[in-house]
Amino acid sequence: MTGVPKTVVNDQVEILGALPQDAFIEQALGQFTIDNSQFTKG
Amino acid sequence: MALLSPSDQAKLREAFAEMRHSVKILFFTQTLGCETCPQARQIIDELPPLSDKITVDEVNLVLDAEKAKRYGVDRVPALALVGPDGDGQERDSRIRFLGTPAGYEFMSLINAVLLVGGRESNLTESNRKKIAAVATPLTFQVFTTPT
Repeated sequence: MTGVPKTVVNDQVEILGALPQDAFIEQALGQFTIDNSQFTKG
Repeated sequence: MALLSPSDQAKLREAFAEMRHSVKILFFTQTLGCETCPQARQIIDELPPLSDKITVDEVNLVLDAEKAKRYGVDRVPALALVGPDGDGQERDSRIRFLGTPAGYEFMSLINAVLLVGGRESNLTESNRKKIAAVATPLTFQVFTTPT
């Protein structure tokens, strides 16, 4: 732990600091959305 | 002696007046071996006098281990916020606070109580759609300091 606030999502995504709403949502949810999961399943 | 000043109490009363639903704060504690539990309880006890929609229920981690397990709490002090579902039955908001909600985290707690109490979040429509598109259960852990 090097700073706060630190947000961890499902032990996979780490976000350090307070971000604007759009950036936070993008970073926090980006890899978990239906579209992305379908994309990664290819 | 109250921790909040009369002016802060007045501001919180005004904010809580916008709550549409009741919110129960489950305060998980234990009798021995929890140095910060009394301070956490003192902080939590500031809220019910400011709104008849806020209640506090104490849950002993040792004596009511089954309930603690049901709420996923394994350390104290901890808080779980419970609100109503669409039928007025109790619904776990799944919001937890671990540790004493002091300093800036007191405001985080206030905001969480307001959200569970029915206040609209400030999420944009675009972001609501992104959240709705999440495909798997997510657990958010937010690490903070109480200063």
